[in-house]
Amino acid sequence: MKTRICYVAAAAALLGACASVEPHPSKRPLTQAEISQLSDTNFALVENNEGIATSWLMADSSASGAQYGLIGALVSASMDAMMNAGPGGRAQQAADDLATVALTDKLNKSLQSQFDAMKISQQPGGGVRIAEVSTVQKILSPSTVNDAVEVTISYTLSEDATAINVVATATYNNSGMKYATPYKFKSVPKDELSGPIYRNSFVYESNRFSLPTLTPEVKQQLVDAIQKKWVAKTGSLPVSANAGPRKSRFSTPVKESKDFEDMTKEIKAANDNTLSKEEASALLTGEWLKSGGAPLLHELEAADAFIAKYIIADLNNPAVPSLEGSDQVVEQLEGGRTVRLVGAGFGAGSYVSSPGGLKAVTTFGNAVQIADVHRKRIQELQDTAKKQGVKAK
Amino acid sequence: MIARLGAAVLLAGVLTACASTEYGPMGPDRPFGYKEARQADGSYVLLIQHPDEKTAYAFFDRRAGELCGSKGFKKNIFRAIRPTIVVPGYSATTGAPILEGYLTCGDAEPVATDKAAS
Repeated sequence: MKTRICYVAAAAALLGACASVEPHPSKRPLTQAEISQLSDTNFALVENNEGIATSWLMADSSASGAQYGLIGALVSASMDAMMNAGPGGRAQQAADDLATVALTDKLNKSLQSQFDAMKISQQPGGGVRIAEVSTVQKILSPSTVNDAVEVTISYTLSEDATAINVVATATYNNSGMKYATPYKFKSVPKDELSGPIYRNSFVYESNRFSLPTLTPEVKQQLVDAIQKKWVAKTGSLPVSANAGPRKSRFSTPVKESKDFEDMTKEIKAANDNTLSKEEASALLTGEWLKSGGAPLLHELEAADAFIAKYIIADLNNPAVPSLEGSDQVVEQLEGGRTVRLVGAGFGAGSYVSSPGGLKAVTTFGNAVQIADVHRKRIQELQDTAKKQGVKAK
Repeated sequence: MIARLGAAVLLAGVLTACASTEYGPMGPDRPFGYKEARQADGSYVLLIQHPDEKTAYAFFDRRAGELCGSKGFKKNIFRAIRPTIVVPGYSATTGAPILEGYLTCGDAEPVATDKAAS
């Protein structure tokens, strides 16, 4: 009997693995009837806890190492740690620097102020409108807010710090309403049977800084940034073990500390004639923070305004996107910036605001660092949640 | 292990080398080149992918010239990324640069230049 159950379970698992889910856009539009029904609706802005995350390209050779057992795993882990120390440390420094201007409280208030402004300026009439705007801390209150549009937002700096991507997701849940998929399926997939009544995403791609040209002044700025990073990391500037007078002209030089060796290597690289992504990031993070962080705050404000404006507009748009279609430019702004409605694929129906006239490519890595100040704040919130007996969702 | 890693890197290199990087339209067997979609207003959205960034930009202008001829063109590149390719358990790499932009024929005046955050 047991063997048979095993066969059935194995066959079911196999069939399950083979069955492919029919693709469909991620967006869930409201129907015209739902738009009329919702009318004045509360907005709950999910507090961002991570601030501006800084992306970097993380090395991971665990799969190759695992083939060689424990020794292989250990070797690959230590190789990864060595390769990741530099870029990871650079990203950490950038995240800490950006947090000096853009703490999560500031980011959250900025988003809320845009929704508040939208509420004041909205015209009377039908359709979904903002009733009240509030914030929700998901670590302390992980449950979905009923009968409210929840907005979740994230901020990511590119690997070379030329650009910031801001991604917002809006959902509407209501325990008294049931989601009915507007997409046609042979068999409705499980993920389309329940969940939010409305869902869509909104991406703001910041204006970009150009990569700096390496002049003697720029190289010096780079050296200053490296030294600043080491002071922040170790508490003081690493100094040479051989800086003092030698005991005698025949005594051998003392071995340098690892910190001093690493810093010297970075300074040497800063003075060569190539600009690595780490170096670009160190320089451009400083550009975002110039004049009290004016360039950074300008972009964040523009991102928040775009997000607030298009979430309201999209909630009132019952159009059902399809997998095949073409993008539609819905707004053209100064400097070549465009807002487009994505017309095809998984992201069909989502909105992207992009800068224009781009002259160089950028990369967003596969890993992110967040500022220490935000990491500590998350830990505090998690501790409070634990004390209050809050169950993570 | 180093030998295997080396072999994997070599294989990846060989596979990339096999894909043609010559100027031409993209297709199922041609990941690099150009692809365009004509919009209702007669303008184009032009997509370029090429392993070399400078060549990708050159391809954009070349294709724009072919589509618009002597009328000239106005371009606005709104996407310029090098995608990150992630295979769990293996080091992530960056893929070939992708450029995407709007192209309007008959207006030689260039669009606003690359603008730093301001």
